[in-house]
Amino acid sequence: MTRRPYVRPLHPHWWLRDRRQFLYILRESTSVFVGLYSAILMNGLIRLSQGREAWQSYLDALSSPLGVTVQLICLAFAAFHAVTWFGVTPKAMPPILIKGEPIPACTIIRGHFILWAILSLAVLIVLGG
Amino acid sequence: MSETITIRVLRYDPDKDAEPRFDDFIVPYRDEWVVLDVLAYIKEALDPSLAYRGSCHMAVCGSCGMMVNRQPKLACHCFIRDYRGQLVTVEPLDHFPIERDLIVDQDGFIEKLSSLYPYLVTEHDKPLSEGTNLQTPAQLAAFRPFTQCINCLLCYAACPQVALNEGFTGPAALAIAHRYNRDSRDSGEELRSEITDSHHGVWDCTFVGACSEVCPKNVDPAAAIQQTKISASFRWLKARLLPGGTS
Amino acid sequence: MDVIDTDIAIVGAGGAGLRAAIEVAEQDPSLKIALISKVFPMRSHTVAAEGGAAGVAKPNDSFDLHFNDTVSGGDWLCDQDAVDLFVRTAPEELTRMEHWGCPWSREANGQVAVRPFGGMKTERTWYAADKTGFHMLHTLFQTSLKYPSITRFDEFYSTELLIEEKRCIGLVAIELRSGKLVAFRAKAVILATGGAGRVFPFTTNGAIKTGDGMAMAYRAGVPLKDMEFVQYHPTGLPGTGILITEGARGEGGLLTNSDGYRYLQDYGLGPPDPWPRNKAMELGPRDRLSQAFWHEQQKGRTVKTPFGDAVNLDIRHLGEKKIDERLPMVRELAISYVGVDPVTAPIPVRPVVHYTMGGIDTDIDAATPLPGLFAAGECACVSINGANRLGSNSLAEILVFGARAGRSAIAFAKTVPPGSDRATKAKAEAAQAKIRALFLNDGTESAPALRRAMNETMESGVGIFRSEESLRQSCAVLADLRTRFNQVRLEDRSNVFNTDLVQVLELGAMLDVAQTMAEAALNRTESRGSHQRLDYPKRDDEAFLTHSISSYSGGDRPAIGARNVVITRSRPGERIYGGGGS
Ligand SMILES: Cc1cc2nc3c(=O)[nH]c(=O)nc-3n(C[C@H](O)[C@H](O)[C@H](O)COP(=O)(O)OP(=O)(O)OC[C@H]3O[C@@H](n4cnc5c(N)ncnc54)[C@H](O)[C@@H]3O)c2cc1C
Ligand code: SF4
Repeated sequence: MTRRPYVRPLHPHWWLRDRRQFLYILRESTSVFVGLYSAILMNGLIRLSQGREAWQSYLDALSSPLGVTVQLICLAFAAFHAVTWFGVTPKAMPPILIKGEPIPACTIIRGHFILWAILSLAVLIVLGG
Repeated sequence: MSETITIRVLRYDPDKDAEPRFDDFIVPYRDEWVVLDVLAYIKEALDPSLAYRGSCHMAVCGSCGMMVNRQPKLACHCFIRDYRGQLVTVEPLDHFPIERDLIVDQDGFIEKLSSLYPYLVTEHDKPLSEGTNLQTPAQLAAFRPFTQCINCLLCYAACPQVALNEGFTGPAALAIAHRYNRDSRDSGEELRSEITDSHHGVWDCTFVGACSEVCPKNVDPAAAIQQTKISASFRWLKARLLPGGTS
Repeated sequence: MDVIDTDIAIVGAGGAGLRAAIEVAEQDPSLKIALISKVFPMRSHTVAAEGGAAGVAKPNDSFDLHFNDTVSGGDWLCDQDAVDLFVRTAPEELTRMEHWGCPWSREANGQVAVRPFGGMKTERTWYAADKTGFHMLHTLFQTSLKYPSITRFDEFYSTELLIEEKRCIGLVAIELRSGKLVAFRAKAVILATGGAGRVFPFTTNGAIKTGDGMAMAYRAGVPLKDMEFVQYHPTGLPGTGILITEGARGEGGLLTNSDGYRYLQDYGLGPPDPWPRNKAMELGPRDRLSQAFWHEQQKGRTVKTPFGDAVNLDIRHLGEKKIDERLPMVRELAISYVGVDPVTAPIPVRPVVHYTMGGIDTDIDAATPLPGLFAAGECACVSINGANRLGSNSLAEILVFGARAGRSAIAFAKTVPPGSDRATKAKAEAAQAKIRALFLNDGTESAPALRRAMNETMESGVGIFRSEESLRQSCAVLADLRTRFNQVRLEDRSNVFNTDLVQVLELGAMLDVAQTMAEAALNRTESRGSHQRLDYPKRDDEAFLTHSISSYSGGDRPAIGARNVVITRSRPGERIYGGGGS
């Protein structure tokens, strides 16, 4: 007899068996919710173009308990996506050297969070004001 | 009786077994033992037919990658004291064909690596009489992390894309290509881009990041791949937008 | 049986084998090269070397200085013509490595940096952080992928050379993944199989360093040279034998005995300055430091640990910050493998077997006395290392003599026809029959037990200090083990990756090598470099300015002969260390 390499089939629940893989699939699945929220916004535009009444009913739907729940879920997933994405950004950028030393990863991540906060604040001020 | 620990080892002998099975071994517990020591003990005292790879015992030869309790590890750097009181399951690296017991077929990796021009590509041969190239510590630092790869293939075992796409060039090979691309002495990036920029190159990567988490040498292949994606995108744009661009 | 035809077969894909393969491929792309290795090339033990590779680089240095350090470090047993050639070629070879992409550490101005090293008068050791061998090996391996004429046979275990009419015409090897025996017919064969530290129980050498190539050559009638010279590194971790780099002492680490006393001052290495002085105290040569440990052990002043006697390597006074900055690997290894944090406690260390100076007898062109057979690297003895190798010379040696072996093999291959079909088949089948016998016969002797007995007798009788009595004892034990080995039992009878078979064959090789070490040591009634006889404590240039030559005699023991050392310009003198040394 001679060699007979055995290929183990991928476990059907491979991504449930390992925390790391599970979190990855979770991160990937956030795109569904981010997509859903974009669809809701898109719908808003269509409603707006259909006149005041349509727009009002759209707003009512958004502030209904169901609407709020859906938005909260989307927010949670979007936040999860953003946080995990920020976490990996240092890898996605070529190393930035300052005085020959690369900027530490945590500084880059922190920078992203600060930028995020500033932008969110700006949006709030512009819309709220 | 002194303390023991139970090791469950995947066994597969193509001469005898239709498919893999598990054997349990009860071995003495010793604080300073790593999984590789336990395997050596089993081979010497309990079952001489156990097959595994391993040599340097200092985490640099890259021979002894295996799954320990479902995580890719170097057996020589994985202390059983961290598993005290648990059942320790040892399996061959995921995502590779099993030749026998803990030994997997690594030819696929070598082929992928070989396709990437993994050596310094220069326009002219520099004569020895001209001495060495100059390279500042900063230029060295730009690629040094990517030179640290010991080819242990833990990253391939951690990567779901390796499992799902057989053709995927994979983390370590791409990190080594990036190592040369970032080397100030090299001019082979164009050549390598043929593979790195292709579908089975960096674009099979969905940025899971698991490779970098399991890498015992902090090579950060995920970073190498993302950085290559950026360069690849620029190359793509350049080829289409600039006059005289190819394709 | 499959016969693979090639022009040049190279056994071993460590630093020396890869360098040889690249040389052949560059010099003559028309030649077919078979590169055979029992492990993937990047697993070869060159990968473990940390410190660096020596080659003159600075304006204040010279070939003469490198020559003098090497010859006196080797206690005048080096062939001086070979050392001359070596020191002159080393810088070229290291430069070539740079052109191939080796990530050498650099000065601020971009020049390659060099560091001081034990026994070297000035800085001439090129390094790539603390992983020089690793980077050299991967650079060579990856560079070798460039050449289509190199065909690799990874995980092929070579067992025997094929000989026809006093010429080497190839070799046989087992393809480990199938268990098939394959014959390689080659016009020239290069052995680059590395050292044999595994003959001893405590060693920095990986599990693959079992002296296979030395034994293959020896059994084919090629003598082994200077086998009694085995280098101990003074600071390995007890138990695993993991190396604690010389750097720990270079930074100011102190060696103390169980009384906390810096015992090296009692052995002519003082004065005990509080801080490092070149070539003195803790920075004395490896042989002297290891010998001092032995004396302390005899006096009962060593520290008892669960893994045997040790002394303390104390770096606490450097402070946590400096330790983390300069010696992070040392701290990590100590915590992991002996459970000691060197910031708060001294590290137990003991001498461990590190390097085999002896090896296959070759001339300055890497040719062995058997036409068609060449050897390079740690398995060969040219000799540039003499009675004691200087740290960082061997990484340069594998390049210089690896390349030379490549060129010599080309020259030879062009002058001869391939071996005959008849001889190739007949010899290969004989080799196969021997292996088949292992599968068919039910031996009675357990291989692990034989290996342990060999390890024990090498440690107790052929260790740091030897005497007529201890050596006679070990020679007798080894001869007995050799006989018992004929009845060795193969437990695993499968074909695919039969690692039990590999270990049995490796044990056979190690027994041959061990015997030549012990018998040559018994024959050398003087003390020189790493070979120290309690009953003959002095160097004896009258009788022993000679290489020992161990030949397979067909009987159960090697025959030991002698050959004069080549002296060109450095007459034997005193090796001076300690206060007078720097
Ligand atoms: C821990 C450590 C640190 C060191 N540090 C330094 C240092 O700082 N500086 C320095 O100069 N030197 C150092 N040395 C010594 C140096 O590393 C070695 O002498 C050198 O690397 C040997 O290279 P080689 O090519 O001869 O053999 P190796 O690299 O050992 O390669 C041997 C090859 O032969 C193959 N082989 C063996 N047997 C068979 C067989 N039967 N069939 C097929 N293939 C076979 C193996 O697979 C392998 O490919 C160190 C050594 C150790 C152990
Ligand atoms: S990148 Fe890291 S994990 Fe992957 S092979 Fe290299 S050293 Fe191993």
